[in-house]
Amino acid sequence: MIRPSTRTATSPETSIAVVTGASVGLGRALALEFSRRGVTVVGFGRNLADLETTASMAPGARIVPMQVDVGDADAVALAFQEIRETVGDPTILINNAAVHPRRDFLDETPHEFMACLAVNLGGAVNCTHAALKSMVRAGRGRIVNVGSFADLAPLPGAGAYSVSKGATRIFSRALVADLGDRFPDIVVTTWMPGILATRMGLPTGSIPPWPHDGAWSSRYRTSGNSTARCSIATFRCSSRAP
Amino acid sequence: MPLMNADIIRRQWDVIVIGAGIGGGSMGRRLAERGLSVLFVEKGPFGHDTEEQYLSTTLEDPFARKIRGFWPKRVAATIDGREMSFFGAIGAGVGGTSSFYAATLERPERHDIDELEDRPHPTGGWPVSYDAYRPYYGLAEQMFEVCGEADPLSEEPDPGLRSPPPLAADDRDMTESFRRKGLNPYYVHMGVRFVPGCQLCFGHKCPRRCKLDGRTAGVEPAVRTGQAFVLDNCDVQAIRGTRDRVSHIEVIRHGERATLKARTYVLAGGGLGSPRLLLASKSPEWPNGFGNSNDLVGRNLMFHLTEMLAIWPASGSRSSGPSKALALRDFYFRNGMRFGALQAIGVDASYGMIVHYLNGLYDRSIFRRIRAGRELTRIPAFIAARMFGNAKIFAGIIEDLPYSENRMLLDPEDPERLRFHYSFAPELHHRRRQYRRIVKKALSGHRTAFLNMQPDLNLAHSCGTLRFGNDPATSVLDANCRVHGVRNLYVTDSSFMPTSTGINPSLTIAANAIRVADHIVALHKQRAPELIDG
Repeated sequence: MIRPSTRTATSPETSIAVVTGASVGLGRALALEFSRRGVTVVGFGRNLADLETTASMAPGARIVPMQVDVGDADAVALAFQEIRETVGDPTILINNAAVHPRRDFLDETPHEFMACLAVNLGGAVNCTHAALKSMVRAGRGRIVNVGSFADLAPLPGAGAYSVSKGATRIFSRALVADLGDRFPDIVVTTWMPGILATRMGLPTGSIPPWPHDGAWSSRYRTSGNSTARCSIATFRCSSRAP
Repeated sequence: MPLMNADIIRRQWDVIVIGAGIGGGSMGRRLAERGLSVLFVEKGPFGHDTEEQYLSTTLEDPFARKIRGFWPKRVAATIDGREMSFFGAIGAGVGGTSSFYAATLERPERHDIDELEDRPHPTGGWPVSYDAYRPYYGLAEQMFEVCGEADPLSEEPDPGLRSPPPLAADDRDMTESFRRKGLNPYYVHMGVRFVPGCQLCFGHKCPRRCKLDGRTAGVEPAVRTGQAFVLDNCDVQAIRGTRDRVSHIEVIRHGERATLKARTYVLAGGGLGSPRLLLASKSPEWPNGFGNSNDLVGRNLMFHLTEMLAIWPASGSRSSGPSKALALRDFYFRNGMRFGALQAIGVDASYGMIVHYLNGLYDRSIFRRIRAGRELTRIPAFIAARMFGNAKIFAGIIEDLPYSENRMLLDPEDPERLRFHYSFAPELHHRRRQYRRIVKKALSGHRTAFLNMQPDLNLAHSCGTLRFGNDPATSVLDANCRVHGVRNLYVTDSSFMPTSTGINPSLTIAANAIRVADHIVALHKQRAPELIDG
């Protein structure tokens, strides 16, 4: 039975979004778009200078840079503790941080392969686990895992990345299996933005924010009944999905 | 909460309460508020207070069920000689089954408890009278913040409940048309605070501390006193002791075994769970199970029959959404026969609700082994949803009577499994037919339809399996709900009830638990000799 949600609806002014990988590319674009709409943003990244550049691109808005390696579970837990103490309880988490090493599987070591998973999949696991602490307490929250079509058709030399993105998509579904019926106002989404003209993407890709400006933010506001709005596809899994 | 805190194990508690549902929760709160130290030992998880899952009767995986506070395993039953297994609406977690209940908290009728001249009682009356219970009903109504209107048919003093919110337009219309038929609807008695945004969390957990249940009105306030602690995910394996007292309980938590000790033990594992634990607690002193001298433990098992009834508004007024405001006691006792209350159940006759309901029926039908057939319930549900449109769904309670052969049994293969044996008495079939006829007739003018063809046992209302009484030859518990002959073991869930009454058992369980709690507190304050142990 689907009950009308009264708690998912949220205003930008009371929202706190943690965007991982906010120093460049899609993460930077997301952070700027959130802040443009009045959402307080905490940007995670490994390069503080790049994060500060992101923050400086939104003068007057609140983007808090935090140098965090998302692959480090303890560092992530500490960072979220600091966010809760100094900024507030995160209501939105965008698991965007990823590395995309191009290596022939014959040339890379198993350690290198797994190190990629530790950032891409491990980062999502670490941040989600930390963010859920207060989301479960509040009974609401929004988690978006940035996916990729690489998991459906892996490119040569992108095995670790493809595996990590496929696993991230399954991670979203596993979260819904664990939380969906118990906490229907904690909405988990896998978002597949398509090929972007970012450092990680291809020059022929779209330029962030994304193909259809505004699609993202309207989706997060009406999370209860969102439909595929992105130009290519949005894969969504939530107990509240119609 | 640490896994198995050494202090919890070493400490001698004033009272250990086994089961943190409505009986254990009310008991523990009363004890803690009156200064006793209390350890709740709960089979299920503490859970999170923002959870809002429904009590699923289809989710199969015991691990997933346990996390969600559902009784993990299927219940095995022989019903009218047919072997079946299913998930009953039974909770296992802090709050117990009440976490998922519809918060109906009503007093029974005088004839439910007392032997009356014109209404003989099936057992000759409970050992504690209706009048003796009255103050405890009042205390329970305070504890659960019950709101509602007095039943206009009642000759008892007005319980003086909190005011309920105003009736919705369609409920007002239905009230008027019921009254024109000479019926006496009133605002049902409910433990709900109606906080802003209240979603009427019936059938699922309430995420807003709005619904009062064993958790929110019992365990949580108990813990807040600083006197009570909860050991969750903790299975009690056995109650141990001599013929006249409990010495300890054996528990297992996350694979770790331990024994726990208290001066007084309270068993509140539910109408099915409590007798199961006593039957499983076999020892040389108690070869048939703890407290089971006379082979009475588990017997006289009762449920309520639920008659689901769709009632369409007489005036054709539109439904303004689900509500469970209306109740009637016009059919509670008719033509010398015991029935029970008729209550709106707070869900509209929507497609999902009907599928859910039909699936429940299917699982207990002769087709239950054909998995694919279950999907077919969607077709009648679709037709029903179209047909039922504006109908309000009511549930009529029919009192079940105690029969010694209807009983909980120890499962020979898995002592943890709940197993019972139940046969429908011919007189129950007869009363059911009479009930349907009487209700149909009284509501003529309204379009009505009974939704269940077969009699439907309400597993959430199991009771009677450890009945209290003055005679140890015919009862398991004495009038204070203490196991006959055992100095320090009490039972305060629905097991104590000698008859099932015509009303939801929750308020009676809570009122009785408070009464027994006060008795235990008095013993502890007097330092009564039965508490001194070695």
